Amino acid sequence: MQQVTTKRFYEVHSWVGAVTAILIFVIAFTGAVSVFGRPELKIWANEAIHQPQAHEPAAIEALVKERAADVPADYLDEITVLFPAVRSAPNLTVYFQHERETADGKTENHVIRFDHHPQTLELIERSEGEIREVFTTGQKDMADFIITFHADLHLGNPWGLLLTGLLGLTLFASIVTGVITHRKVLREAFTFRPFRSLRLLFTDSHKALGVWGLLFHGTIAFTGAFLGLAVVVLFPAAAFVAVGGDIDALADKFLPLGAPEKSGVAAPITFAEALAEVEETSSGPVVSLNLLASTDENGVALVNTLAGDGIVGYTYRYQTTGTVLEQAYTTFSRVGGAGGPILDAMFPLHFGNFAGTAVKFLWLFLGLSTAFLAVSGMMIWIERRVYGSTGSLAEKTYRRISRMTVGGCAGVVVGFVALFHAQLLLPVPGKAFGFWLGVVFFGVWAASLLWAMLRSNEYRSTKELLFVAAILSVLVAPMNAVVTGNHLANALTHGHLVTAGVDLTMLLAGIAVFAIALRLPSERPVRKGKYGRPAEPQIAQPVLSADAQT
Amino acid sequence: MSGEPLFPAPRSRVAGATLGVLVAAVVMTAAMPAYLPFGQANSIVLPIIFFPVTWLLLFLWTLFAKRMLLVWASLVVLTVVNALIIANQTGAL
Repeated sequence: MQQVTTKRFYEVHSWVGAVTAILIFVIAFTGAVSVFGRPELKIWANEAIHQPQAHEPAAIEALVKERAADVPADYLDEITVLFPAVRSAPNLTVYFQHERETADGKTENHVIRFDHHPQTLELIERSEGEIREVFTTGQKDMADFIITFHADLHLGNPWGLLLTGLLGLTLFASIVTGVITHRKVLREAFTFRPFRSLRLLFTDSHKALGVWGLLFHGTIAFTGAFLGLAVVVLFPAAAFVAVGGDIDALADKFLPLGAPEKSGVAAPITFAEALAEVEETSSGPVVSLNLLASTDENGVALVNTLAGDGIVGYTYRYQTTGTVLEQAYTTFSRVGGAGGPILDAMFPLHFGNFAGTAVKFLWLFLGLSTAFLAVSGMMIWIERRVYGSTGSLAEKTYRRISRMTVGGCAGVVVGFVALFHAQLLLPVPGKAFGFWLGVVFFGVWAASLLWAMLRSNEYRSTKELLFVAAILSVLVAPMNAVVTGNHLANALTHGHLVTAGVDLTMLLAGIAVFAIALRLPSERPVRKGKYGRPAEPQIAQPVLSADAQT
Repeated sequence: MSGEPLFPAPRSRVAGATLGVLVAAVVMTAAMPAYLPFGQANSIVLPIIFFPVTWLLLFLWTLFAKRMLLVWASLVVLTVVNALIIANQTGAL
């Protein structure tokens, strides 16, 4: 490839990265930790589900029948049960849906919702209203907060999703242009010179992490762009063209078969046998259950599982009369062809929630490496401009950008760890809890940014902010022990493995971050390096690959 | 290397690579179900899945093409032709 073309690719890579680096770091870091958001952080944040959940299918069936007796008959055609501590539900939730006409002549999906204690199954709360209203105004915890922040930066639908989707596109462009710029990937995967100079440390680790995690970074960028833009722009646009703008008609084409034809012959609500059979045979846990035409002889039960050993979860469709398994399918299996399996794989590939906990840890580390790519790329960009020949702005402008990068990136880490303490300590009941979590997170983030901007030495402020994150992280387990009484030994002996795992992970992460912060320089090294070499060798274009210079 | 800038007409190029490419890619993706031969469901789904690739190809081409006039003309033609296909498909024509 011609040198000028490589240089163009490098410039695009460099500028796309520089413009989006802080936001990409924020999205990548919160995405990496969100891999454990549901259910691990959800379990950690809710004391009632610390211990493993197990309920007899017959007990759940009896509960649903009891609640069904409390709602009008119109609401019995669609009943949903959400199982606690599997994904996002902290309680055992049963809700009844009915499409009804509103006063202004429109139709709304009205639900009556019952939340039950996950252990005792006692009724905690009954609520009703339009479905989105009922499910978005409930109490949120730190797991919900960080997952939503990753998905849409708390800017909501459509603007937040649009922004994160566009960031996915720019990350995709950065990765492709980076690969083209650094085509000697094999050599760069093994090039690591940590003690030559700071700039080489950034450059080598940027390239090595980029190469080793290339497939992951590309997958995350691709699926992230899809997930952000598909709901907001692409599917509505396709629906407009293919089915006259009716998004429900489009969903009917793609999504699994819905309600069965009713026979008019009454039948009791039954699903316990079907649920027991799936719990016994499926490798993935049951996350929810849908009962369609539940009091009709033709009624069906859809038992939905998460991915177990495979990549995708399945829905098992049973005829409730006689408990006959009709079929098992994935969410998009009706699409068929190449599109169905790809759509099915998009979500698990992005969230890492398949094939067990080992994959989640792999996704966590690779996700953190994506975040590090963004910040190391930004540091290379700044280093070249402050201390190299590139750049047309004043040094103080680049230093200001550097401080903003430090505050923006380290601040989100400190803010995330502060959420654990906020979850334990905030004395706010009910629906205001989510708001105050936001106050803590954004407050800590803003304070970190301000701190970094006010400090003249960004190396020192990086160390300081990482020390704060490390100390807060180490204190998560003791704080949990003091506030909930569920200390590590207690959690381990009582089988609260998820809670103990989160506490231990935060402890180890805190120690690791502390060790890293200790080793970081307090100011930019300018004299001798570790081996007596000049700390800043004379390299004209350190981030351009060798082939770009030949 | 000659004294020629790496990216001639930078403002026009950035505008094309950001707004122009996004609009063209979305309109193309929306129109593709009308002419792709993969069956109805896959003709809708596959362009959506591969939207990032469509966008990336247009994005890189916009940045690397020598003449911005050609870039803008191509983006406009792509957008208009696909918009006409959409209009025809939805019965607006």
